[in-house]
Amino acid sequence: MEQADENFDFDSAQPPVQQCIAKDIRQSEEALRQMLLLFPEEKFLGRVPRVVMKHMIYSRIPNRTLVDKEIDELNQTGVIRLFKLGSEEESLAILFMEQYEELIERRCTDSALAKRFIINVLKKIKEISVEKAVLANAGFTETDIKTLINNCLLTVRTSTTYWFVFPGAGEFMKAYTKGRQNIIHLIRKSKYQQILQNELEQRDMRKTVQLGIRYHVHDIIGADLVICVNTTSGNMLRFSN
Amino acid sequence: MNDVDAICNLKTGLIDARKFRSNQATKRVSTLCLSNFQEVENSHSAGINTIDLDKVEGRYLLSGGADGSIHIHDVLNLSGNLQFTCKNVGKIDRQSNRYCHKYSVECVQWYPLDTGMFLSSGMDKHLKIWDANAQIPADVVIINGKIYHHHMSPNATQHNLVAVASTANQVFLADLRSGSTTHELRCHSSSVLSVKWSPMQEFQLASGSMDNRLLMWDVRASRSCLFSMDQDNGRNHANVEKTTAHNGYVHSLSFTSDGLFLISVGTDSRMRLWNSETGRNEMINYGKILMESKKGTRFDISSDTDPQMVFVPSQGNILVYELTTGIKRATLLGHYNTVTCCAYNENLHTLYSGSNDRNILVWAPEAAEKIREDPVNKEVGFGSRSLMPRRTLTEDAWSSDEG
Repeated sequence: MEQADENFDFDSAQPPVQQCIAKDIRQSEEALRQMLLLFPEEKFLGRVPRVVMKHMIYSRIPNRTLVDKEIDELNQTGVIRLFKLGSEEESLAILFMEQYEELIERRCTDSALAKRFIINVLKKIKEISVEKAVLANAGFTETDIKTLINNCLLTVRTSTTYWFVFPGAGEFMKAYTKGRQNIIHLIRKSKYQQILQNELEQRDMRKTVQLGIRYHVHDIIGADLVICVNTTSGNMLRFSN
Repeated sequence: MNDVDAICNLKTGLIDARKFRSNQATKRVSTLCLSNFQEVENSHSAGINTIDLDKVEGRYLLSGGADGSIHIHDVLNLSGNLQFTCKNVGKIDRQSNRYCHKYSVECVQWYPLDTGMFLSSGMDKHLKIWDANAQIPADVVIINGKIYHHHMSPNATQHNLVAVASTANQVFLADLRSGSTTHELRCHSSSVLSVKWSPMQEFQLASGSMDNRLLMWDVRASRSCLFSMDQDNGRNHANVEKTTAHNGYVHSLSFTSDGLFLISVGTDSRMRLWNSETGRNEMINYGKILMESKKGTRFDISSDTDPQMVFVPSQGNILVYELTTGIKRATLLGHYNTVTCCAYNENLHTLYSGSNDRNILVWAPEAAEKIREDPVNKEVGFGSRSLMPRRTLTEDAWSSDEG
């Protein structure tokens, strides 16, 4: 015990960092990783990375504010990255940084530019959009920006700002909106506008719903398009108008 | 824990009195449901736009309707019976009173210090200051625009200002002593839909408008607003000049009773919690609050419960959310048409809600109470129902499809 006291240096001792939500970051990160496994990567043959929409996590964890705060913290520490796909407020896609960086390096034609982009821009700016002035400060010329746009890493938002985007986003959005519409249409057509989740999963929708039924079930519950009611024969998905 | 254990803990000092009170209040608010025993006498003949409960005793309920009428009901149960109808004790409508509003009443508010006076404003551009006993307006302030909302500061001692939100782009401040609008706050670029004074700071005012902005003012400041609340907290780069609080009109505002937080509801179906000192969006996710009306609803906050609850009207239902976490606790179903306003009574832990179906419903914590099978009660209960007035003498109570 006395030895420990002698070695304890009071000057350089740091107060313990308050990590009251440390346990819960694991919770939504776990939910994220589990949901990513639902994404059928094989179908897209590596053109589209494994991506999950943020509102899909709400179907797993009911406290939405907590999920928002944790996703925000994961974004700030650089574990994941958020992208806005689509015009609604809720259409935020989540991608893990390891995958995103690997995808950039694989798909970008100019690898030196890609490395500069990752180090100077992605590591420093955590938001979903970036201004032209900021890119110029980081040392990117007009031709650099054009190359990045051609490689699907930036998209024009206004005359002075750009959205961050990932390659394969267009294909993902097409499959996603089509699949969601088909499933919602199916539920609306049903008697009493509700269907048991087991019954839904048994239907063969591989042609119309590319991303898989279970993926979309999380998506429509999280987006409040259906209400999930727990019944004795499993979950019942009821359309909420 | 049951009530007896809680009382024993209180007596032995294991729990302090305020905590005991807030625990009991939370338990009661969690069991709110449509009251089986209490009801408010039907007296409105048009949809109800606004209600207000007086702050002094929580006894008188003031309600304003779309036909310009104003009714006062007494909600205190002094009859000794469980079955109780809140009687109408005052009515100002077009047939009986020539000072009545010409068009719909949009906002009513009791004078914060006593129930001798109340203010009402509406689409006829008038802000009327009524004497509640004589039912005659003591003064009328004419505003340069149709009035959507007005608010009088609940704790002001150094000023007698009423903030008025109207179709004009400015927030008018009417002085009750002089009877005219002395002061205008200019910063909005479109109609102002809602104004609220802070319950703690008597000079702080928040205003929400159709230009999607929510501004905080100090009325003593000479230049312009203190700050505009930004929903992204400065993170989103595109529109730096015009920071918006919502992606739609900001139509309802309310401060929490400690004045530290401000809640705003907008037509983008979102509710946001703001820090009233810094203007920071606290990023609480309440989910979507569907509403069709662009004019705004009056919602209320229960400040005596431990997780404070917000009661928000949404189409035909009232949603109950926890203030700080955003979890939806309950959905109160009962009205036949859009709910426009609700007011929470702290003394009785009941909620009163008014809607376009001309009813004021009472939501009380009644899960455990059962009516006694007492012959005396049955008679009185029967009698109170016959006091409901018929609309016209020739109106039939049944419909005939023979024409």
